[in-house]
Amino acid sequence: MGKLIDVAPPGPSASATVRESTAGGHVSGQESTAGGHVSGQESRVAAIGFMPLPIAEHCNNQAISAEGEIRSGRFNVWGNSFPAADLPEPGGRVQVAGIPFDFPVHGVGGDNIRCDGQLVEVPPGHWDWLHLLAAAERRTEDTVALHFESGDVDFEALRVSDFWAAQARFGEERAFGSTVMHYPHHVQPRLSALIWGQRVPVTRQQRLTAVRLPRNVAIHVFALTLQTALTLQSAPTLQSAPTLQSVDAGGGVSA
Amino acid sequence: MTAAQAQAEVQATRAVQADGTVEFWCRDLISCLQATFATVLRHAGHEPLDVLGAHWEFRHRPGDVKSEEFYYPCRVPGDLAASLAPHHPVSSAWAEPPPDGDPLDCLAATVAAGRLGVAAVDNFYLPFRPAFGDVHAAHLVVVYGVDHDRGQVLVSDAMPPAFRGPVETTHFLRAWSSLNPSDTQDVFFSNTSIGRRFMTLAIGEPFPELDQALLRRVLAANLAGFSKGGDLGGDWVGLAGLERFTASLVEACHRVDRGALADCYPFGWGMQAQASLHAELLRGKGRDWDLPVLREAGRLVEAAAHAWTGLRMTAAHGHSAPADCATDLARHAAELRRTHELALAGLAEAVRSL
Repeated sequence: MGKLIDVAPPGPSASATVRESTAGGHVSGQESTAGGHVSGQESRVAAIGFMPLPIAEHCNNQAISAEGEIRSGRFNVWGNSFPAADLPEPGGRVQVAGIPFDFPVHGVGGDNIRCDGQLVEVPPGHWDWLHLLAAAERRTEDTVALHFESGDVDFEALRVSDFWAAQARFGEERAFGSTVMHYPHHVQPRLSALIWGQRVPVTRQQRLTAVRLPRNVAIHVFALTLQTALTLQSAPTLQSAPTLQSVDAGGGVSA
Repeated sequence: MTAAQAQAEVQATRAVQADGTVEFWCRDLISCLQATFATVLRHAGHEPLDVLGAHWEFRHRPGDVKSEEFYYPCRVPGDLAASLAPHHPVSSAWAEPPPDGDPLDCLAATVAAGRLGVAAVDNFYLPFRPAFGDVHAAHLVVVYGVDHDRGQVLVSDAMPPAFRGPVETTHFLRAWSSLNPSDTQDVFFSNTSIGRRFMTLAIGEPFPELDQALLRRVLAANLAGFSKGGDLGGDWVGLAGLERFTASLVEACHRVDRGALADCYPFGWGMQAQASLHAELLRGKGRDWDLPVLREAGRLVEAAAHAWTGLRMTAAHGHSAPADCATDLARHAAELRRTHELALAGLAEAVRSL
């Protein structure tokens, strides 16, 4: 299982505090962490938790190749692959639009999940978002099934734009774009292979336990990260408080 | 200028190049068919999306699918332009150079007459294509000039990695004359002779502006097309045709018909491209005219376009072992039908709002 980590929320405002009166009444909006402590009020810190998930046991496809092994790539039906030199180090932690992901290691099954209905168990918790690094062999929409501890299941859309020198059609973040494309017999200049940063909402306010990926060979997942809701936590003092703190995702998750 | 006059001018000058700008126009879900036609339309001063995004249909002609990137089941036999854009005065015709004489003269004459040519090629012989020297694949490029003195043909290809510029005549002639032999690396676009085919597009007048009244008629016609029975002169058309096609594809898995699954890739590309352009058109017009219902209809059509991905890719990856992908293919087929039904309901609502 992954480990909960502290990361600033994405967006231009990297972190913020919210002041609350000791009586519990909300008295003001956001302010920067540089703001001073207000006498008579308890400082509270807005925080988000992220948990990159290990996916190695589900990897079943090789989409990344070194220049000396371009024949090994199997991303699409043509045997194209992403050049390793243009991507993060395998196993490294990367940030995409403020979201931390663990970039996959090339293991026995490969370096990514080609979606075939795999059931990915997650640390039970009140997660708000499932973030993905994903690529698609053509622009694709399909469905993930979110499984909850209660036995409920919600279906949510997973939308991934084409990996082939395309524009984002679903408002995704362009996570990585290569300078060349690997073909089975040559390295093609002027052609970019793309990995997108996409997200899926978890709207049910219950403990999520597993995610069923689509049964769709066109979609490849390179990394998964869960995100908690934005919550407020007490901060000892503004001067000494960390900018953000870890958040328990509803029990059962150790920070 | 008549064709004879253009031919005479070519022979006199030995070098012709189209006037004006030859522009790239591409979208991620279209093929070289739509991309080349779009370049021709732009060169003629027309908005490609208005023309190529108006018509939307399902049409499958059993036994007709060719392993070419630009395959499309023509409602008007032999006329790809009229089939793609039946609501506009456009048409196209395939031609081949006469057996004697310089084969490039006919392309040069086309350009000299103020038109762009659209030539079939085998990517194996074109240095700017990724498949150069590697994979045989039938493709289309725009020809906008011929220079006999320099031994060059000027081509434009909007498909990534886009290229516009001169190609040595020897390369072009090989690509244009290729038998495009069967290639295990590309069973979807090889094994169809190129045969020095080229197209010219005729763009007539008056050329209609796509206003709300015309779009309403177009959408009504598209809806009527989808409501037709499954068999129309041998073509499987409309929702019933889609149902019949997808059922036949799943049946092909069980009888281990690898060819049927391989055909799904080029056939589905044309259907997917058409749906995606129609969706983009509706989204854009819905924005320009502030018609939310039209934008929503566009999004529903777009979902139908996206559903083609699952079907096409499952068939492509599974064509060597059809029985293994039957269940997944059936699931994607059901989703394709469902998205089409929702899209048609959205279009019906949009028609009422126009």
